[in-house]
Amino acid sequence: MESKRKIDRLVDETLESVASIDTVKTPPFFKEKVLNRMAQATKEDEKDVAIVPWFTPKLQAAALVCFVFLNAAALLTYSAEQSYNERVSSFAEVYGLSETDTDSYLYQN
Amino acid sequence: MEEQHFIKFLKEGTNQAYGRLLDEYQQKVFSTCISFVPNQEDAEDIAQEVFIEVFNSVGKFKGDSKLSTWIYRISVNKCLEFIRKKNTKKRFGFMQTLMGNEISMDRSSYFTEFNHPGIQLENKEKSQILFAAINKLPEAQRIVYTLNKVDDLSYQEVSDITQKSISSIESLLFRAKKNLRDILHDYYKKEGN
Repeated sequence: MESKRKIDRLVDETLESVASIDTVKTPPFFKEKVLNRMAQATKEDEKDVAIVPWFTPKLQAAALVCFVFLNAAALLTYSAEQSYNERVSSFAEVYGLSETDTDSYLYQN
Repeated sequence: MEEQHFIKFLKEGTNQAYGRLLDEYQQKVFSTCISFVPNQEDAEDIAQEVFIEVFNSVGKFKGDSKLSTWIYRISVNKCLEFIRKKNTKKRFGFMQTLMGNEISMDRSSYFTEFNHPGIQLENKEKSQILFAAINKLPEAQRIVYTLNKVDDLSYQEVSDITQKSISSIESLLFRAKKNLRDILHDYYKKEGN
């Protein structure tokens, strides 16, 4: 019983402790620090905009689509031009797997 | 200067307008931050973030509420964001979550180092216990209790900030006090008093 009363008293005191909290003054140079950060943020924004101001996200997307389309078209044209056999022989030639005139030339010396 | 004009200047981003904004609101914002986060350095960082957020989003401010209410809302959100992040880091209780155990009130697991210059030494321990107990309240109760009891804002101001009716505020405060009593009772019982 005594312990319960003691706990109740402690709970009351703890809840009442909130009333004795004093106002804390803003730290010194708070205003200057914030204004500095704002100025920096503005500068960074200006820098970002100044590099390519006309290259808006819409234009960026259009450029990307053009790039992908041109690459795809080039790839298709290239692969249609070369037949399978041509590609295999050129591969073999590059890695020295086929007999060419150059081989006989080397052996002749 | 009328508020509408002042907001217009803020949207234009003039240094003078922000100087005035800081003169008017730095104390209020800092007080709210230190009420939620009782650590001077953390509260200062959050208060700075609040003004940067105001600077970045004043263009989107439509004037549906008072400027002060809007700034208070940003302050509360920034504080809660900070507390959530810190609590997640501190909580190694993923096992406890899995097992459904409730985390008991423990001052050592408080989200920040307690450093509130407005609390006198003789009240420091009790205040520390109280803040740890407040941290255990559900978010809505925690916000209302902190704004009204710690930051000393009126029911009307709390109602504007939280966008809840005054009767809801009263009800939340009543439940917050009751829950705090229960939490503190358990705490002192465990402490062996």
